[in-house]
Amino acid sequence: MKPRLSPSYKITLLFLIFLINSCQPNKVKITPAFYHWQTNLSLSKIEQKYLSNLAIQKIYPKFFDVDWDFNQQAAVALATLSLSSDLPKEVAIIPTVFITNRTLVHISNDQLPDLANKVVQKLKGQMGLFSTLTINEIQFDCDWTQSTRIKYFELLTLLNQFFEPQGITLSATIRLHQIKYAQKTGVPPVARGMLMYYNMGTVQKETTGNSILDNEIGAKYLDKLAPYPLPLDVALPLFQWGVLFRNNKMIKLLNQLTANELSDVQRFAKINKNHWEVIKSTYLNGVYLYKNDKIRLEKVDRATLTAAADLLQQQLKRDNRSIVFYHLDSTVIQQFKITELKEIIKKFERTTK
Amino acid sequence: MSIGISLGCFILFLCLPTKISKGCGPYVDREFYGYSFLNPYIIDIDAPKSPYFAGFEKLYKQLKPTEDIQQKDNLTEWSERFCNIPKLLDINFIVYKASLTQMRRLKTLMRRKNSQLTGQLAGNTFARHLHQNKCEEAVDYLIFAKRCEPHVTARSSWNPVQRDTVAMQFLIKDGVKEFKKTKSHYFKLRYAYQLIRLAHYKKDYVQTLALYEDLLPKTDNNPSLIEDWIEGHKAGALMGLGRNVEAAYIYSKIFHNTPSKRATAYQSFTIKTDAEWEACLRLCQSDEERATLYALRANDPNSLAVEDMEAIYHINPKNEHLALLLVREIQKLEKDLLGGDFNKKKESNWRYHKIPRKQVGKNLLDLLKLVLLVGEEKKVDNLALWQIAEGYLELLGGDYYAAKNTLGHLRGAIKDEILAEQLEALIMVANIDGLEEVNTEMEDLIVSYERTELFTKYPDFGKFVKDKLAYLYHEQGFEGKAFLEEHTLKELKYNPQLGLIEELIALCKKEKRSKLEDEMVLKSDGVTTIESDLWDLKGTYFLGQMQLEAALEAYRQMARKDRDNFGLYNPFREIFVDCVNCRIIDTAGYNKTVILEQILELEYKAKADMEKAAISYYQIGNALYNMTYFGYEWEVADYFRSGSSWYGLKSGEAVFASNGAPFGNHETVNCSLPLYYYDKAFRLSKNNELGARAAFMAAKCQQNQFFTKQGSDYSISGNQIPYVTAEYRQYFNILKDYYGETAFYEEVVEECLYFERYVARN
Repeated sequence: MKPRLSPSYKITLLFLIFLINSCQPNKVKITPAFYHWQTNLSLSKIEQKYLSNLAIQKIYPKFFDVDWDFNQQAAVALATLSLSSDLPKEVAIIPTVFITNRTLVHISNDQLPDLANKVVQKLKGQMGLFSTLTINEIQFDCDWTQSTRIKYFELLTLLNQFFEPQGITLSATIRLHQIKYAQKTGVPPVARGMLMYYNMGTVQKETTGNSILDNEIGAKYLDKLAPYPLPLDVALPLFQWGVLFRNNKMIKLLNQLTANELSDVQRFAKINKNHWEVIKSTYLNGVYLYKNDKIRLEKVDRATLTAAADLLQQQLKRDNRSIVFYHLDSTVIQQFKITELKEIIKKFERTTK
Repeated sequence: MSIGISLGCFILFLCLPTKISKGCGPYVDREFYGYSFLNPYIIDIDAPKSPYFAGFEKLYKQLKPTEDIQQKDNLTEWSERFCNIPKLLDINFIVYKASLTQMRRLKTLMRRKNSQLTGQLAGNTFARHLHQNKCEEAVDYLIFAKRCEPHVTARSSWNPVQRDTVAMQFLIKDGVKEFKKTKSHYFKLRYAYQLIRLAHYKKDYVQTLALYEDLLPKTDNNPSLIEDWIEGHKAGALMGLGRNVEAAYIYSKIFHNTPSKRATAYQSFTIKTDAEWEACLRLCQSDEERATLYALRANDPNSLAVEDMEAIYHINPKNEHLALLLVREIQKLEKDLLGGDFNKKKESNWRYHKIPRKQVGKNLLDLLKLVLLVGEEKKVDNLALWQIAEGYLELLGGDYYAAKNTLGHLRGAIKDEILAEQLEALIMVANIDGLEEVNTEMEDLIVSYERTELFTKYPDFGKFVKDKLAYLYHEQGFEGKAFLEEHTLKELKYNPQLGLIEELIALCKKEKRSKLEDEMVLKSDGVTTIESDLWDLKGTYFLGQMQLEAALEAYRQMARKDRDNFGLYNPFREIFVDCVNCRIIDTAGYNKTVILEQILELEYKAKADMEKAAISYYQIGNALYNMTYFGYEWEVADYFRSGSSWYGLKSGEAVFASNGAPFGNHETVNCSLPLYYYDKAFRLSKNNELGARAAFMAAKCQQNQFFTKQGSDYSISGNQIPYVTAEYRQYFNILKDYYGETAFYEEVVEECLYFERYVARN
């Protein structure tokens, strides 16, 4: 026969349990993850090890883009993902689809059910590549605006009608302006949002410091974070690029450009910390640069990323969430040590709100 | 009466703020706005490479509708192969549309003696030719090609089916056998193409190159476009194997030689490093090939092409790309510089297109330097084009003297008709652009230009002249003329501007006008001026300000015969319905002069006969109220009323932004004057019913004042019943407190929802 506990003893015990729980730090569960934005998902041994050491539990591979074809006057699928290597079984896959806003601008309401059906069929086909993995979430990435929100939300609703019965929830990326002006741009009809905490400056402006990550700009948007009605995951940037200016006009982005590639003093003159001038017309990564062109190198350093994490953790609701780094690439993993990213992830475990 | 009141109340508070689409806001035009005077025909518009360089894309779309050049060229080759006997349409059917089954049936019938073609093939001249002449090799090839087709055609981006590489390999084996068996080198080449294409689509780049190396030497055909198609697949395979330089070189050759593959070759041409560029140049076998490489690089929309043009010029001054690139660069500079001072959309050009480019001066000088060199050395084929370019560049640089000099000297020396015409057009541009002021002589000169064929032929002359003149008129203080260069008289009606109107009236009265001034003020009959329209505008301007005497004075200046031309109205009705779109059809309509005369007569009567003063003032109040933004005869005092202005009333302003209205849209929202007369009416009224009506109408005026006061918290959205603050409900109080016993009051309370609530609240 088990000894019976007296009621007063029970109350004391409960109180003690409560007290112990109260003394626990305000920890939330953070799931570290990576976006994969290339068309071929093929992880090298080094990349697999990097993911494993960082305890990455999710990958968000972009399955395909949806863009508007002006010749066909129809939405088309582009840059379809192919898979060339097995993925670690412990990693969950969140298929991601990028939809250009111009698709929504040009598509008619009548065409939306057909587009939804095509996206569903295409996703089903692509998900076959990952047949050994269970897929619980699909993410849609679109920089929708006030004028396209109705169509976008309708499309999401149609997609949800298909995936919800299959136990797959939908999430959508949310830009900072969509947080700040949520009343105008609306809140997408999905289960979760992915706050994209990057691309916050005006990249086209020559005077912009760093358009990828600028916490001064970011901070202006974050007061609307806590009241935002969707649970939010957070995407942080790890990429870098060069912004090419010719005659004071932005010409193009030079993806993953490094300072090292601009170190040839015969061709490039360093103006200051992150600006170079082309002193001799030359090719650089397939782009022909003319003498007098200017390049602004934009990258995310550890300190800025840490500051971003500090800012965000003060404003985010206390909630379990994924922290997703954009994006998985051999250059990126060379730039950021595992310990550095672990520190960033750790910061989100203590949200204060 | 009760119907009138109830309807009035209903309209006043539920329907009066007519809802409008919020999409009626000012329209932002983001299209680039500028001028171009280059005649596309100064270059060889039929030259196959023109679309890639000259930048006349829109024109090309009009002149040369997109067609499948590749298919057309291929059919021509088939036709030539069969001595042009079969009809092209029939070849098209057999090559591109007939099914594999139909081809196999044709083969079977060819082997049978005395067989007859049936079905679609029976009437097909090409099928008949193949059948009668027992062209087995051709049919065998077509059968093979149709077997390959499903494996190499583009698939829908939504349903990409994995290519069946096993079947494709099987076909390659079969095809190699057929290749060996075939005697005709025409078909051997085509088999080689099919096999190399299959291997390329299979992404087996090594096999692609191996097939190329193996099969091509075994063909001995006449020159064929198929060879260039094969080269394209070879280049693709080289790219796949990372042999980028060789691939780029082949693409540049395809670009140069093969119109049917030019677009894809241009897109595929890629150079990654300086070393690759140098290596690619080394692969070139001739100056022509080297020049093509520079031309391909210069073709990037954001290129600074002069550098590459110089290289092309030094390699071969007679290279066809040079002239095309010259024209394209001038087009860019035209956008940057032509009419930069007076372009009316220069702000939006900069905001949305970053035009003009900031260092455009340097770009101009670089090009001019090259043009001068070319002119000096005289090594090019089309020297006249470069000489004209020199003058035009001087003009774009703002050196009108040099431009006129250079262009003027070329007069008579240019034999080519199109270039000679281009020269004349640019001389005209220089003369217009170089104007520093406008006077009668200049105005007559402009009119003489307008009457030339050249002016009509170059469509941008119209806006170029108008914008230039508007700018100069502004500079010289002729705002009326400037307005008419940029706008129509109708656009002035949105918000009449007194100064402009008076200047234009003076212009109408001017004894000796220039021809251009005549164009401004004469109507289509060439005799009548717009003077009456201007008097109507002036009168309406004053009416909109509720300045009745000034308005009448203006209307009286109008010729009597014209007074009825500006509408007949009757604003004197006692209407409680504020329905702006409910014009009351009445036989008794008056022109604006008569209306104002009647109002002034009523005022006179009121002063002369105190017994009738109340009713006279009440009638004046009605007339004035009905002419406001809120009344049914708003058209007396305004030309254009926008429902969307309701949303801006609380700004306290009377002018609202509106598309097509250069000075905004003025609305007659001020109810002070009708209120003044209603107030007098109820104060002087000895008849309680009349007093009640006057008080009610005064209350409406006050309520409108509440809507239009700056910072009013009333929102039209939702059509809610307004809560009028105490200072704006004096006349409601008067109606309630002094006329509570009247029949009118009873009706108001019973029928009018808002008034009932108001009474209940107070």
